[in-house]
Amino acid sequence: MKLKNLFLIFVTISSFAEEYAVVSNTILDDISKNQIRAIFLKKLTHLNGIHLVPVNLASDSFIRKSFEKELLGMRKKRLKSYWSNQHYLGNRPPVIMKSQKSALVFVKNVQGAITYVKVKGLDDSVKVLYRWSDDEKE
Amino acid sequence: MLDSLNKSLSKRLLFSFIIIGFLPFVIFLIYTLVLSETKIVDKLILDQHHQASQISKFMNTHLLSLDKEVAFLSRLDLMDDILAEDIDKRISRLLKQKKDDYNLKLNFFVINDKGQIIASSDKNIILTKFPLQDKLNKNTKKFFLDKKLYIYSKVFASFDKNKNLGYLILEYDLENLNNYLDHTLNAYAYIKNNNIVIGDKAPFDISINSEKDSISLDDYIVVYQKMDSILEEWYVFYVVKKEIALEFFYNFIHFMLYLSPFIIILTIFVSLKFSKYIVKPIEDLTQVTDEIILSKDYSKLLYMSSSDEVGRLAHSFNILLNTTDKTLYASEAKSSFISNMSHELKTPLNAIIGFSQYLISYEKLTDEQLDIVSNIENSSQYLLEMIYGILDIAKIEAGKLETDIKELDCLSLSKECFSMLEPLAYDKGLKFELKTKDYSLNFFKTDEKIFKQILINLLSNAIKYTKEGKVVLELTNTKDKFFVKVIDTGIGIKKEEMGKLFKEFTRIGNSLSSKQKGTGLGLSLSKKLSHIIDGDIYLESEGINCGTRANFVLRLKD
Repeated sequence: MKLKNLFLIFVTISSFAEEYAVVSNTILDDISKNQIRAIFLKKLTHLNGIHLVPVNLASDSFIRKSFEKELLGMRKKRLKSYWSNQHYLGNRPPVIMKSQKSALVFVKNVQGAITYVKVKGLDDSVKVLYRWSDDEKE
Repeated sequence: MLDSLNKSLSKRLLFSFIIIGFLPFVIFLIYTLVLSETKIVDKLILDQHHQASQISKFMNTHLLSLDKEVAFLSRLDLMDDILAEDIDKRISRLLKQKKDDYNLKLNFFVINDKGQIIASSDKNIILTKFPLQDKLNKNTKKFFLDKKLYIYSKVFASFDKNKNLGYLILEYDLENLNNYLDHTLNAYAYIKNNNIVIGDKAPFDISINSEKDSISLDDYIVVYQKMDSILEEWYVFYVVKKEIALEFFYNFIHFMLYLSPFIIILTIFVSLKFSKYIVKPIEDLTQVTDEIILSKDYSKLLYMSSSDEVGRLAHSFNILLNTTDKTLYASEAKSSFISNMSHELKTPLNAIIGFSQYLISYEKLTDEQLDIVSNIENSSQYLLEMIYGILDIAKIEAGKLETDIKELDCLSLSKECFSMLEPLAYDKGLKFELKTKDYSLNFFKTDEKIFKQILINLLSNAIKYTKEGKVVLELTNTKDKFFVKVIDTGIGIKKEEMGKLFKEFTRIGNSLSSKQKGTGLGLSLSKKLSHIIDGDIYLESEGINCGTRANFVLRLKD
């Protein structure tokens, strides 16, 4: 019994997973996972007449890594070649904010802005569009 | 002054040297005093203009580069952080970095569309309200306020070029431009727009005249120029104190003025030295010749060490002296020979004359014998006359003839001579006249014996050579001359023979003269005598049988 308890504790700790969410300015309607993907790849730029502004976090961010895997389904290498191609079509990768905090302020301030942050500490000032969690150890 | 110059070679030389020495100096001095200052001022103005435009260019380049920097920064994607209120301080850090790079008194800051300062190189003003938002005007991109220049650029979102995020503003302290103003020339260098002055302002106000670009005041030279581009409403000024800018020039002038007495003294000194040096050999020469003239010792020689023109002159002079000495010696020998010989001749001749006269007077001679003895007496008398003539000439040549100058009544003297020769003329049947109409002198200073001798000589000559007609003795005088003219209607003289007349023992050979007795000494002797009493004799004749005019001229002395 004592051993089983210890095992449970270990499992709980090891399987402790961070929870993330895609959030947008409150003015936007609900957006599907596919739509989010299209927005971040700049295939979808307007929704209901609102200019959509995807906001990435810094490229070394774990959240960004997790987001790209979960929602874009693309590894870094593929994304890189995707944006290289897009560059020649005149499209640029999304705006980059260094911190979650500034990304959130940006989303609050800009209509149509959309980003991803940790769920922890979120409030009503932004609208949660999608949640996921990542088990991978950091 | 001019007179003494004409008389002295050394003074002329001195004068020329001084002129040559001074003239360039004086011209140079005048040039420097009169023209140089304006030229230097002009050059100074030109230099200042160059300086001013250079400064103006540098300032504008500097400000334009700042302007470009502002435009560049405003276009960075990073400016999207305005929307995140620059929480990550990325913009502020960048602006701080830029400010540090410039190391000038300036501030970059970013305001959002509400006029709130979001990011700044000066962290103290972040989140305050930008007070001059109403000054931001899309067209100008800049404005001035007090001593500050604001250059700004609108910021747009990188993801939406129509979305205005706010402004990037550069607050530039114009005092920074002072670094571009050159104060090394001790000039007031400043830029000015209305009442705002950057730099070191002149202590007086300058009113700008758009026609001119420089003002030359008593103490200052002012140069100004309108600037362009960002500082288009500004003027750049250079105000130079003349005293300082022309210091070198004034020093030079002072130096020249102080130097001038020395140059004057030096020139005079050198001129004196040189003129003396040049004239010295000539003076030596003169001194030696004076000595020779005084001592009459022509065997002396000149010694000249120089081989220049004066040396050559001395050499020639020596040759001349040598010749003169020889000639004089020969002449003296001749004179003494003649005088000795004449004395020797006189004694036997007197005996011949005496005995002849004794025969004529006391012996009872036949007519034939009387004729012969008379001829002997006549010829002896003639010979004696000739010997006296030769003695006179020898005396004159030896310089032994002494004169006795007295105040004489020449008119009565002439009358005396006239009456002495009158019988001779009447014997030949000639008219003999004395004209004294144009004669007004009472007394004349001369030697009585010589005057009489010349007059008798001329008159007897005239009578001798005139067969018929008349002989006129005419006395005239002008202001400074006394003329005795003997005019005859005799045989005249050929023009080509005129030159031979005054030579000793010369008689002009013509048909008439062969019948005439004469020693040929008369005219020569008269001329030499006339020279002794400071007069002269010359003859005039139109030719053979046209008569002769003998002129005896005496100079009137005061």
